[in-house]
Amino acid sequence: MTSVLTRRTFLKGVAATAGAVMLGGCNPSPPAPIGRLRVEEWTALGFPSPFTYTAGPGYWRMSLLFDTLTWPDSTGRQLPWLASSYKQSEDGLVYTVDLRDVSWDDGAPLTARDVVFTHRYYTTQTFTPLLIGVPREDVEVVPTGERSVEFRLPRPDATFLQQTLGTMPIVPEHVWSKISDPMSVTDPKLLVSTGAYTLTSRDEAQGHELYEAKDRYFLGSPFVKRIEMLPAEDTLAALRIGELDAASSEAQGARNELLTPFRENPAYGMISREAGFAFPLFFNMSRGGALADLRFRRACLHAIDRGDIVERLLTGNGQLGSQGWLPPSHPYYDGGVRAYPFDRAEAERLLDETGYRRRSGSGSRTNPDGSPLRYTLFIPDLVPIALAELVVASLGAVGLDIDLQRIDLVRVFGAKLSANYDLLITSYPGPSGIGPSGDPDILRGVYHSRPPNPLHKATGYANPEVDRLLDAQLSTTDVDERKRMIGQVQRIVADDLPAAMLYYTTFFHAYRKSVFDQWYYTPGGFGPGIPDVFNKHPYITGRKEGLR
Amino acid sequence: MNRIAEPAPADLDRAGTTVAEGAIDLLVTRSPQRRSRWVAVGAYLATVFVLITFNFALPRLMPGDPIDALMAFGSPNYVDDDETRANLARYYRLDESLPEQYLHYLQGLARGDLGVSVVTNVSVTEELGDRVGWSFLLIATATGLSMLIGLPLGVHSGWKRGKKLDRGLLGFFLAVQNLPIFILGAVAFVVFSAQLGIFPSGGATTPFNEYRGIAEVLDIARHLALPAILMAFDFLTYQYLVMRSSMVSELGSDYLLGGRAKGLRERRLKYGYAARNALLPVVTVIGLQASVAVGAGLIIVERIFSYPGVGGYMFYAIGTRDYPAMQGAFLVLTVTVVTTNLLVDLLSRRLDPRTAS
Amino acid sequence: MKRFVEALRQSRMLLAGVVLVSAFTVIGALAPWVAPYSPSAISGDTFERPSRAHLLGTNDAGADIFSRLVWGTRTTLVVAVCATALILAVGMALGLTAGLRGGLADTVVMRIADVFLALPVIPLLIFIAALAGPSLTLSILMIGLFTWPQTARIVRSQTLSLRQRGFVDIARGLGGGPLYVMRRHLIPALGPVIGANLVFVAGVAVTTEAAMSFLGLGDPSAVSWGAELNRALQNDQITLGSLWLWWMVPFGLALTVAILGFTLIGVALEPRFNPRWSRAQT
Repeated sequence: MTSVLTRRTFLKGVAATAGAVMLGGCNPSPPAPIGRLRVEEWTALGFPSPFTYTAGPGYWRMSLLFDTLTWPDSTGRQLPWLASSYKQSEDGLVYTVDLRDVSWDDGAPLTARDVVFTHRYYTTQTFTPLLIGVPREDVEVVPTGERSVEFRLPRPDATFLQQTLGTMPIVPEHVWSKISDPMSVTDPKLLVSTGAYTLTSRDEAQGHELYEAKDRYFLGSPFVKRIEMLPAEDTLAALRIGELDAASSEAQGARNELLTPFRENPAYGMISREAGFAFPLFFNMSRGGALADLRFRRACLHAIDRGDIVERLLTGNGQLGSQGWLPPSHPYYDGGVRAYPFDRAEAERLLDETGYRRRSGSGSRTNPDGSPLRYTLFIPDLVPIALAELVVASLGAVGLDIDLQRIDLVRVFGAKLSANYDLLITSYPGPSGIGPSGDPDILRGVYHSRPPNPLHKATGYANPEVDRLLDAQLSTTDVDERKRMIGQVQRIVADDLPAAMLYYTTFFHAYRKSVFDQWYYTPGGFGPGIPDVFNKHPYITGRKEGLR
Repeated sequence: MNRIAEPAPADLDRAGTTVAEGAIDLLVTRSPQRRSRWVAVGAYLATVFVLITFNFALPRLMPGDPIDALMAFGSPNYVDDDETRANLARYYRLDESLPEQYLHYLQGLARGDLGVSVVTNVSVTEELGDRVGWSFLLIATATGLSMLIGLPLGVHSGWKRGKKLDRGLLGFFLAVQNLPIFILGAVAFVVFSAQLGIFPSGGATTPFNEYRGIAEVLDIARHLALPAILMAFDFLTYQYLVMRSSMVSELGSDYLLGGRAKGLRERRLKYGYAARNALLPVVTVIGLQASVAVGAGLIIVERIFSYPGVGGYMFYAIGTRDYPAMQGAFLVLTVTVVTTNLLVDLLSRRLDPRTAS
Repeated sequence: MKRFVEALRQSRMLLAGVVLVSAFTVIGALAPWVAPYSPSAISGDTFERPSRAHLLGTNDAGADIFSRLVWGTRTTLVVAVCATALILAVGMALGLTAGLRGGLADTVVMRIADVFLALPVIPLLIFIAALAGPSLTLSILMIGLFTWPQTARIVRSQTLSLRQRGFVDIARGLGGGPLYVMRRHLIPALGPVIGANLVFVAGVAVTTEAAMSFLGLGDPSAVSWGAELNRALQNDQITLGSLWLWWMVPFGLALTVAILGFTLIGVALEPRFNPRWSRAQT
């Protein structure tokens, strides 16, 4: 229902989060600096202060104004950004950061005190969790000099570098220490920062914003001088008719017809990334009955011709889901997970064998006790209605009656939280942030019996072995060991099948080469793991790797 | 009903009059009972209070709350523990009991404070302020356009009652009176904006433009054109029908006979006398149309053309369960509707001899 | 009935309306035979162009657009019939109560009717659909909720005028109970007026259902013209090529023509059966 209730741009904003695989060609030398870059707007995601933005693109806009200690480039490596250098101790418990000689907009110098203040400020505000990655309250931040600071961790944390140093925007103590309620700040004058751009115009009603480069940025004058964010109902169409200079495909994926104009015209470049978005089908196991029956769930997945769905909806621009959640392109993907090829006969056999027999005549199946077997499938709006129809048709073909109900995203998540649904197709990343290609810790969100956020949990699923492995992988610093544990989790959950990963879509990003052509997808995402193509690194530096 | 003195009217003609009268009945005479002005104002205040209460209750009856929405739309890797939820609820005062929330809501309203948007953290009054103007411009332009076309057509058609032109126009407008605006709107959007690119695909102005004077006006007009024309088409039908039937009812009047006897020109009689006298019901209909449009057509048109008005704002607010924003938008829309109704009621009371008593 | 047949012979407008509405009724009733496929059947590839196998091509899932158009007729008719019946029941009940009892009952009913007439429809529809979750039943209830006041007011004013003319009192005086009075005198006298009004109401119901579906507030599993129109408009492909010609236009046209049919009948019938006119003519 909400495809209409929510603005498309907002839904798409929600779509952007996770890690990455870089494709696309590389350009030997950057062209001459250019002035203006026009991209899609995200004004509805809140004022771009570090305390009021929402969702991935909201973080991105804020990142144009505020800097973090480290920041990734196209290799996914965290470059020292506000930091002049950083290092991790042998035991992984201490991160030492030296700061560059940088000034705030108002001339005051950036010091270790600002870093200490920022960390404390975030962890003492009620709303921190919405604003940056996991706030580590148990981390001690100690100034060790005018421009050096130490982060002391109680135990090793594989995600600390990216989630804190590479995510937390440093704010000036002399401005924010006077503000007790940062969420109420919407005055551009208070956006005193070290960042590369200034917000010079914002119209929330019409949806446009203008960011202009600061010539005296500490990494040199930014390559792109002026970023115009403009409203567009259909961004690829807007690029085609010249209203934008770059546009990404929607969360739902893109068919070839939409991409052909850019493939055929040499004035455009295009990059793509596999598994940009995932569409899992959740079975509410806590409902008991067939939903808690492994053979029933397996039969459902066998009954769905996922290859056909990807062909129909995306002309093949997608990949079949791996039941270990992580896509084959993910560095932690385990190739040994159980596969569930489309096999209607196998589905029928499993159902017959388990006692879900077809009622004579109607062909619909019933429970073993003869009661009707009928479930409702919820879909929010990010999920194409055509996908839901195809799934319902597939299940119908093996005698399973499914009612379709389209409800708005907030209700879907309400239903998820309260375990008040039968079947649910939703889309990741996006509302959740646990995309198929971010840090593998995302598996904890889905398969752990007590996940950090119940919103994404495979409802009713609890496997002590999975819990143990997921807890252990978090505090291991040995990458191979972590890989082994994550792989084992994938194999177990693929066997247990509490949720069926239907398919992943491919993201596309097309752009006008003459304006800017250094686009890339950041492996692992930028900031807290935002998979979008809008990493600020290339348009500040004009290159894909390293600093000038 | 002296107009029946005319030769027995044709089907079409009768239909035209009935539909017009039906429209007036439905729009103008809200209550069949004659009430005093004070009763009307009292009823109005009561309605507004009911709306305000509705307005408070409806969003809270909807499944899912703003915290859920913030969580659902929030940043990656946030922690959704009970403590965070409780803190957020406290921050937005959603942890208070409903009577307390209601009281604060009323107190805020009394100060003209509609609260702060849960999504953008900007004052709702301010956000609505940015949009009300555009919605008003859209409705005003549409009303102006439709009057420019509908009224002369109605006058002419009524004057030439029963002639070929009258029959044609009347038949056409009767037939299209119920057509929903979105069919034409959807097709117009695809053809003119998306396919041909003649009109911009959204917004009210060109972003970051430096236009001044005429260029600025033209820019706004270009963005306004399609939505305004569609709304005008929606208004046109009833304006025409009411104008025509009102004109027809003037046809047999004594002053026209007298005027003709005095040798006044046809043109003078038509526009100077008949049309002027016939205008009263039309004026009320125009006012009420605008109010009805606020509750329906405006929202649809703003959605189709991404026009930055109150209607689109409300849609967005509902999707994110942004209580203050929902309440604000809904309040502006509903109060505009009932206020216009009251004003028209009072106006027609003054002007209409039947109710002036 | 005799008057109706007579009217049919006289008025081309009425004839046209009746022909259109009957045509849709027949198509809706015979949908399984008219439509080559089930509306939800994945009967072809996606976005096929019109061909012999798929007269209007296929949609984004690969369902036959023509079949969906045909089956959509059913949804439209179901809404028209059910909503009209609902409005008739509620409008009659409340209108008669107000007209016959008078006094406080009259004031209360009419005041409520006033409030409903003044409410902005779409914002409330959005709220309530979000509250209850979209379904066809809900759509019908909502349409009823916002349309009954018109019928109630007409019934009330007719009842009042009949009362003034003394019918009711005489019948009562002769010992007829209220139900008897209603059945023997009021309903026959009200019939034609209500009949004409109901055709209008059916048209309004069709329009409202379409608008709700268009806004995404309709039942996702019911095949509805408004919903399909919205689905087409929301699809990115619609701006490419001439897809809109066979995916959007037919649904828009079907809606237009159906609404036109109801309107024409209403327009043609009303003056005929409107007491204002019959009185004037006698």
